[in-house]
Amino acid sequence: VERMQQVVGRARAAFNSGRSRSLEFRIQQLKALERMVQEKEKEILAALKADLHKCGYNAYSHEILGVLGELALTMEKLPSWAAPQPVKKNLLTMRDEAYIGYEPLGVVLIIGAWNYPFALIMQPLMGAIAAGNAVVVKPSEVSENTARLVAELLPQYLDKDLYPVVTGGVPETTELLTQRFDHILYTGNTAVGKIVMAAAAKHLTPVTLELGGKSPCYIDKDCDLAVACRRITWGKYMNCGQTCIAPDYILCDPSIQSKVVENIKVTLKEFYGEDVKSSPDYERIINQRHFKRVKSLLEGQKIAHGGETDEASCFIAPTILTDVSPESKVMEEEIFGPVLPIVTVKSVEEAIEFINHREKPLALYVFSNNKQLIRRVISETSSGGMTANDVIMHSVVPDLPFGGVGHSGMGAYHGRHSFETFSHRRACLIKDLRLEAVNKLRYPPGSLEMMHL
Amino acid sequence: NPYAGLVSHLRASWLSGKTRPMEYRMAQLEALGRFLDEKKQEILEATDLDMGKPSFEAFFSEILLCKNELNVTLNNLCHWMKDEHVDKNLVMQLDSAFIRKDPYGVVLIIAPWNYPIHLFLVPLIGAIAAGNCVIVKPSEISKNTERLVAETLSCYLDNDCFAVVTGGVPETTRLLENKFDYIFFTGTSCSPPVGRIVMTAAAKHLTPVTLELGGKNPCYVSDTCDVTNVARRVAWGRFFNAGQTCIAPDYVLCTVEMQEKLMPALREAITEFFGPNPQESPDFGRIVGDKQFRRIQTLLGSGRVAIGGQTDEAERYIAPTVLADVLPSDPAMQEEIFGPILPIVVIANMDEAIDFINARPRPLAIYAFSCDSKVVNEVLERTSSGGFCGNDTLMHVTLTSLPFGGIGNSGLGKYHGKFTFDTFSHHRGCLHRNMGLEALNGPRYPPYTQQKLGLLTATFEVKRRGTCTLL
Repeated sequence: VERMQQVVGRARAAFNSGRSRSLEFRIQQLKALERMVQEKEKEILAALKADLHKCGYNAYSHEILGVLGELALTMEKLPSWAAPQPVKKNLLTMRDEAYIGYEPLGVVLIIGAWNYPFALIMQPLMGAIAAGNAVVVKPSEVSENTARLVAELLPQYLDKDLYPVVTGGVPETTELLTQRFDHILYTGNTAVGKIVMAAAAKHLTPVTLELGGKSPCYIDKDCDLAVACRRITWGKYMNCGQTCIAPDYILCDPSIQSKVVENIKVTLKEFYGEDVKSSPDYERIINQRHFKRVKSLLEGQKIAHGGETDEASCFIAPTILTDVSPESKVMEEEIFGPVLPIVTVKSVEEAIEFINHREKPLALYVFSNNKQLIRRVISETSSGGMTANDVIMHSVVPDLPFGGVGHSGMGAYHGRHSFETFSHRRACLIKDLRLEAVNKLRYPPGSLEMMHL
Repeated sequence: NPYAGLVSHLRASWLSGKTRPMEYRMAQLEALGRFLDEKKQEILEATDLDMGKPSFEAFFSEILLCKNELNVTLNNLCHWMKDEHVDKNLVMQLDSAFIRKDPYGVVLIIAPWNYPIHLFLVPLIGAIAAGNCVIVKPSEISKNTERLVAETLSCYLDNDCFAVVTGGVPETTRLLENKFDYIFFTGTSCSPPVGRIVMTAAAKHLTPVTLELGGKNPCYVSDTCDVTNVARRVAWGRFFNAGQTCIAPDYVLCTVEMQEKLMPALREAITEFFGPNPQESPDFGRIVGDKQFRRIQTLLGSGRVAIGGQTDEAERYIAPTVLADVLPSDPAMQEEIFGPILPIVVIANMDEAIDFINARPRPLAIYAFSCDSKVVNEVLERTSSGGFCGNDTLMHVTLTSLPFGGIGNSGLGKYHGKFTFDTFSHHRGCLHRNMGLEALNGPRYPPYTQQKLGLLTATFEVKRRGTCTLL
């Protein structure tokens, strides 16, 4: 407890010194972060390889390219994001200054996840720094190599007191959550999300919760199946299915189910070759516990493709399940693994009803040539975000807010949304001390005539 | 669970999609406008019975300001509801990327007693505008207004989608057991504990919240200022609604010289507003209940009573009061006053005032008065609060284009104008892609090669334009 108190206390003292507030300072820290990513690329890729068996290309494109892009965008836009925003005035305030000022919140806590362990620390971190805050960083202990690297690298490049890294597991995180923060951004699962929000409630700390759920993927009969299935295969099996916005399950008409399976099989061969296990581009499940969890979802299911597993290397082959029952275990929890269930529905209405009777997902996908149908699916459902005719991609558009709704989370970030999440928008009205005559209208003694003015 | 039936009824209405079309929302909002017009007299009477609210004040805060919010919403709803298109990169030029404003579903609005119509109606306007179904829980403490709302609102709004629930703490606790898709809570002086209770209940269902709480709003008066105008503006803000305003100036910070100058000016302003005997003025309110009256009365034992100090328990009247030479350790400085008492705490200079403010929890509002704009700006820049008003009190919340909300102990989230609509909407990131041009996706698919990496970098990277001047 003492250690946590000290770390957070130091960060708060550093914030109170005021040095994180100037734009120059913030950009200097962001530039240092950029240098860190560029200079330590090899080490970062090695940590990701050790944690997730992620190949260089995937690691670079998922966790470095995006981070560098967002850093560049943040540094470029920061002056305009941070500028006070004048607002529309009314008759009474015509002669006054009225604007919204962007101010830092104070000390922010960022809790990362293990599936994109570097990016899920870096992206929130850069937004929090850009907004002028002190930040306590808590990487996930499950991706231990990346956690260790982050703990080593950040103090080498950033202000040590303002941006401390705290490592550890559940007990350490629980202790950390008893401290007072001015905002907490947590990426992880729904169950822990509730714990984080309850802890935040004790201090009235606002939270951004990036959680998960089962992201549905509806494939209409009227669509280019080859293209649709290639895109779905890419999004589903990247990072061995361990992506919060992966298409979790497919909804489609029974008449196209076997064609969907065929198309995915063809694409899998194209991507990973005949022997997936020996492809350098295919990842592994993060650890034994998750391996066992995902494997157990296969029990009693009709395996149309894949199903091979190897416990020693946490390998699970890209797997497709057909005619899955909505009540089965694989349809209960977020899969977070390379297992793709297909649930058949007779119409888009049935698909929409199916989706709406479950918790709101983080992402929603629909494939169709019919624009009307797509518009209908968007309007009649809700989800954190969505992409039509592709998967994952809404999360790389920098100006789209990235976040959940309902059980998939609250709040959003990415790009300017990160800056706004970590800022306080303060309403400012500056009046003149003269011109008292106008004010007389509102002072007592009031009268009926005044009321009708 | 006594409210389960009601909540699931509203949820069924929500799932039917009834509240989504713009026409439906506009019709419900227009009905709210008729409620304000047709029930104006009843509202003035109920709030008068509840806390002796002067008609002028009631008209201003409960009718006029509400109608402003309603009209801003009706005039702009079409625009607010539109998808917001965003910038795209090279690869996505043929795609459509936009932010869709989705309603949350079934939302709960819990309102306090001090502005009993305004503080449920303004959030309700935004909740309806955003397409939600709503349960309104007015305060049981302003019981006449509560009865009015419970009996008449249902005559104006669609009862399948909007409901009023009455009751006290036990009823609210049971209500909070249900799952809502958003909870909007406004609470008064003892807010911190209740705010936490609401957020903790919300955490069980991962329900997002807006908490409009309170605190002690400091009012710094510099040595260079027009004392007469300052006194009027501060007195107006303090004694409005007999001090029962979350953004009222709670205490004054000034030098001993300024305290000396301010006192006669305040005395004059009070007399100008309320006459020689404020108890007889129709323009001065009363305390809402006996419990609150007794709480505020004990605060009078702070510093020395320079103006006012009279009380009348039968009427729950506390005179407009100014306390001089109040110490930070005095009772009046321990809690949000929420009554017609203005303590003056003497400090040596502006720096001391700023340190005093920063040593305390961040308030809902900070006020600074000075003829020197540099002074006002310095107080603004070196402090943190929900909102800020220079050279006046309360007025920043009457501008619908400014967000209204707290920070830290004074609250989380914001509303008014478009901010209310945004509060009750989920901003959904949407990308509608082209099924063609699959070749462009090539670089992202395995098997991976160095060449593919080069292509991907080229299409996705945001190039940093030359802005090294800051370094």
